[in-house]
Amino acid sequence: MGGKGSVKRWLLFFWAAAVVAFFIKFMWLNKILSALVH
Amino acid sequence: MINLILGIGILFLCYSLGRKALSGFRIAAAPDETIVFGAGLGLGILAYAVLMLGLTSFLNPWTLRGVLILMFLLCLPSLKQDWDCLRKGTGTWKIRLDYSSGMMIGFFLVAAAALTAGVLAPETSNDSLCYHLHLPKIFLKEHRIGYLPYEFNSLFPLSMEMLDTLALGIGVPGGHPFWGGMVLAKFFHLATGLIAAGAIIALIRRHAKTGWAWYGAFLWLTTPLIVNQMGTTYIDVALGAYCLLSFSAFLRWLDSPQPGWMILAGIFAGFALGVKYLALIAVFGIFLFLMGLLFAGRDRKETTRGIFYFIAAVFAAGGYWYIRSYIQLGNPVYPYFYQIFKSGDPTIQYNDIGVPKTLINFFLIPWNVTMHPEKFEGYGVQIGPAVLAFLPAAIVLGRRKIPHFGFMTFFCLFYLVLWFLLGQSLRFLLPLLPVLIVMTMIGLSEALDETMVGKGLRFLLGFILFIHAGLAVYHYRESFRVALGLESRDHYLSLTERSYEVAQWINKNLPPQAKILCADESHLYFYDRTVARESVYAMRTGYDQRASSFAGTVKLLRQEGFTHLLILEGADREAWKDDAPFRITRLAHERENELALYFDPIYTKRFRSPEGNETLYQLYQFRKI
Repeated sequence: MGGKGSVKRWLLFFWAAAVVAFFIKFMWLNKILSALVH
Repeated sequence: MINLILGIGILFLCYSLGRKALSGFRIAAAPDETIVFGAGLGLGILAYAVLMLGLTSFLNPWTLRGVLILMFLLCLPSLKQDWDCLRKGTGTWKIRLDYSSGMMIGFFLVAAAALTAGVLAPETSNDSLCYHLHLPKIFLKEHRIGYLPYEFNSLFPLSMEMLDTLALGIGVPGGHPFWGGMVLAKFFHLATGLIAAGAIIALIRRHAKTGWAWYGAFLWLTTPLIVNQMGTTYIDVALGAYCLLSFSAFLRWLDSPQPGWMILAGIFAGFALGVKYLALIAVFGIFLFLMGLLFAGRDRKETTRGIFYFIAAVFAAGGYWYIRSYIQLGNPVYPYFYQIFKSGDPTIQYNDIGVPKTLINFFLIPWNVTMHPEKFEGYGVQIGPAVLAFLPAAIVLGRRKIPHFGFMTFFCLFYLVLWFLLGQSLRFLLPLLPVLIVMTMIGLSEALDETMVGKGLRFLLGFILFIHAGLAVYHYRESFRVALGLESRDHYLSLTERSYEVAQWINKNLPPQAKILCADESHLYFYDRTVARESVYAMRTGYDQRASSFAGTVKLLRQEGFTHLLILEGADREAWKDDAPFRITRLAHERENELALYFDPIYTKRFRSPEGNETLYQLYQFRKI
């Protein structure tokens, strides 16, 4: 596994992880935070 | 539960019948392909058998049972071979159980348990109560299937409603409101989801290890859009399933151009057209790709023959519904595209759901449909994060492994563009989802190795299934008690379905010949009297344009034979303000004090849904002159 290939794979992993994180944020976190604030 | 067992038995008969039919295509299908293609074919044939009974006015529970007995007798000689093929086919799907696959199976089973509860609970979904179940109820009552003037939806393609008609006819216990039939009808929709899951496994397995095929199936079966739809008597999962079967057969034709594969692709495309108009996009996509192949220099004779077989099979399997609609009202896709056919509903908007149709919004669609499903018809039909998360990795790292990548990409983009331009409901995106899942899983199988990144991606996949399972349990949370028998159906419906108690009152207190104009209630299924949606009646007759006074409106309605008027005030309390001056919806609000001149109020009911939405029903009787 070359260096470039490895960076690409990590980037794709971080993309996938970011999508899941944002999905959770939009699904629940906004609602929970808004409930805590009010 | 007896209806689920009945459903499984009917599904096996469909597979058996379909397997017989499949042998006539002279194709070298693998045993697992035989299972999914056979079951899909058999369900389609069964739908047409019900239609034949309806067209000849022989539709009743006994003739429906007769059809099933006939099917059983036809399949009896080959049941042993059918069973062996089933075992052999599913035998190719075996995987080695380890910690990660065990976790994924566990999450799937949680979602499956929630779905089962949803299937066993009575139907409360909007479109089901409006027409998916309401039409079959009328068909059974009238012993025929055809155009119903008060129901414009009766001119839609109705293949799935044929199966619903069968379900209402033979479900146990029968009789209005067909408690057992509701469960069986839901099972048929669920069955199409299972067939699609099988097709996903069969397709991925040809290009990746079987474990990936199962992950694809789990992803499909737990995606909120799918799991939430499968627990209803909607038709979208069936649309997705038949599009996928057509797609799979077409891929096989691309690999080995035997005419049988193309005919099969055409038949499944035709069945998809028999389920919903939207299949036109998928069918047109395949057709355009075929034309592209012709111009790209692929064997001209073979491709031309393929195009001919495809079109002929599409027409044979699905053309009936469109010709019927055209003959009846001059529009094959009634009531859509009024501007082209000059028949239908000129007020239908194609931009009332989703985002404005700009180029930038098109490129942002993958992000927006994943993160903001509320813009595209709600959280209940969301597609989850898996495709957006993994498809880039699948394409970058595993593109070479994805079969016919060019065709798949063309199909996806073509469907997405037309979906974006026509109706941006996530439900309508359903035929695209299995293709995206197949691409994702095949490509990902190349990416998920034993490196840290591979393990990380696998963990994310498991985590997404965990989220899906949680969402499924949340979605069906109201159904568990009634499914387990801890709550009566009456109690469940009186809490969750706005129309139920009003319908019960009407069924008990109004004479059988009562004819009710509903302004504008669309949940019609539970009413055991003649009911008409005012909006549909107005669209068809234009009575509101012909009347020139309150008395004139009442006279026209009375001439039509209406005896009662049911007014529903829901979320959109101001909608009547745009109506014509002498439309009853507007008169009832604007000139409320004059209502007493023409109507006697006889019943009022307030309903508050579990989500907190309030509705008010007011039932009036036309005053005797």
